[in-house]
Amino acid sequence: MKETEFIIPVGPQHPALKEPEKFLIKVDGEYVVDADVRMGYNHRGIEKAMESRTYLQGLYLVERICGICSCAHTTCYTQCIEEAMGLEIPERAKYIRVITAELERIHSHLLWLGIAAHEVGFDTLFFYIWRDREVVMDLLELISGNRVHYAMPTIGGVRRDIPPEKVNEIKKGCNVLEKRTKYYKELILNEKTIHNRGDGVGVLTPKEAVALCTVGPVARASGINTDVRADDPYLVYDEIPFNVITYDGCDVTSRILVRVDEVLESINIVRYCLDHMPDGPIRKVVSPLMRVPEAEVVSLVEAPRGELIHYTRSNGGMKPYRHKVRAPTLGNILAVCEMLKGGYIADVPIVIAGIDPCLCCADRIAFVDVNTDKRWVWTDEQLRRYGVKWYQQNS
Amino acid sequence: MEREDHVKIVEALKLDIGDENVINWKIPRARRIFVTVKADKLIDAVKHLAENGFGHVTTISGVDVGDGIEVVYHLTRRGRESITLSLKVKTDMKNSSLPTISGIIPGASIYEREVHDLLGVNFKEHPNLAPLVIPDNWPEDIRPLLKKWKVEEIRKRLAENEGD
Repeated sequence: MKETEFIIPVGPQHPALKEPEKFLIKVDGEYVVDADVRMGYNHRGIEKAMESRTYLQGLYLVERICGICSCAHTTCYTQCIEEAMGLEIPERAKYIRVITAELERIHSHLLWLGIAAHEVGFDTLFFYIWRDREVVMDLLELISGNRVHYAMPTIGGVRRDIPPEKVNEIKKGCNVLEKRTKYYKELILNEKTIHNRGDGVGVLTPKEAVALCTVGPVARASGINTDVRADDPYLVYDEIPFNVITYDGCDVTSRILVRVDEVLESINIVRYCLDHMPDGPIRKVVSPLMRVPEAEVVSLVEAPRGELIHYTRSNGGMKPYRHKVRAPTLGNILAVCEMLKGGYIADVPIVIAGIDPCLCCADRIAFVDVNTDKRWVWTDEQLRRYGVKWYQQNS
Repeated sequence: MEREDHVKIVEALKLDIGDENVINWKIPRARRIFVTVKADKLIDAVKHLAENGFGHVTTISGVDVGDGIEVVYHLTRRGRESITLSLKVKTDMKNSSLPTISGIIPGASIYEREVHDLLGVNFKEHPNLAPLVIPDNWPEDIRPLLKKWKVEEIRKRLAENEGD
């Protein structure tokens, strides 16, 4: 280490989100020279736990992997087990799964947009977006009875139908969401606060994005045209017209714009599904103690944060022999370390928040000065305030 | 139609690393391929696949198969009509080790660290195999995803070590 460098630990209580993860950030003055990551503060051993539970019990466990994208996990898990069983689910169930998944994407992206606004010190926008996010939360509650764990997909189909009167309610909600999201897009495109803090910040070149196996909106904001819904269509995504959103700014602003546009796409997907949903049964009944024939299945889903994989191996029993889950955030961790390099300390919170990390929730950042080997730790609030203040003084 | 070009991918791999080094393969459905190769041909196989579009590591899974550990590299050829090829190699249970593929695909390094933590596979020449998801004071011999470790036993050992 050069004499002019410091290492600053950031985490495990996180500067940007309420999840534990620790970044070790090597700094030279105000510049970040290198970044390393330490995770696992919230590792709950779910893969091990699945091996001692039946397939249906496993469904409840995967739903609780994440409180924000619970539906992505159950969608991925159920189609994994259904493929192993050779079970074809009713068409209507597929549409209902898509509707729930897209409503979840809208809520997840709006939640993140609010956080991004907060990280750059634009709290007015944060409150407005979170107020409007309640519209989609109400729709999720309307169809599932729950705000967080919707418990819609189950092995063989979905648990609840969407009757015609609810279809109208969802359409009304979509209109409100569309109007507000379009307004926010306009605002983001023209608001100096966003551009001052986002343009050219946390750059990830397309080449780096490919080499580091980046996924989801982060990859798409670096111009990589990849989306599991379009590339490896599951459920009924091959019948639904929608655009894969890409931006080539490779910075925080692009990551914001990708997600805003994806909210608009998701609203249209929900509308299409409501209009084209066929009548019929919503699930095939399976035994709670079912056996799954010997098989290995790779199941991929586009979660709000990107490509999600569940890999299962069954040996004919009532419990999975091995069930592997890789959530999209892990795929973007190496990329965020790369994005931090060369940037300012003040940009650390928004860059880390930029990948929308979901670690099941709270990290600190450790800093080391490369000049004096001085070390110090900041908590989330300290670092965020430092960033906002630094920009007030320096721009 | 689709399956034909899937078969071609496997045939090309066989041609490159040698027919005898591909132990078995299957194409259960469109866009999914599973290939098992000999462990000493892992690097050659990954190189060949990365050069032919399979440069995205979706993840790496480790499975305790009783008489060894199977490491599954889920490689994806991205773009419309993407294909996910799961490349499998088997290593011994004792002193399990494999060469790292992070030199070919840098994004693989984080997944190798995870497999090292949870199953104890030693990835040779890996840039940094420090614990990623297990705590710093985790007992060296406990690799939680190995079948020989029951949850109760892990709990008992951790309770004994409390305060270390």
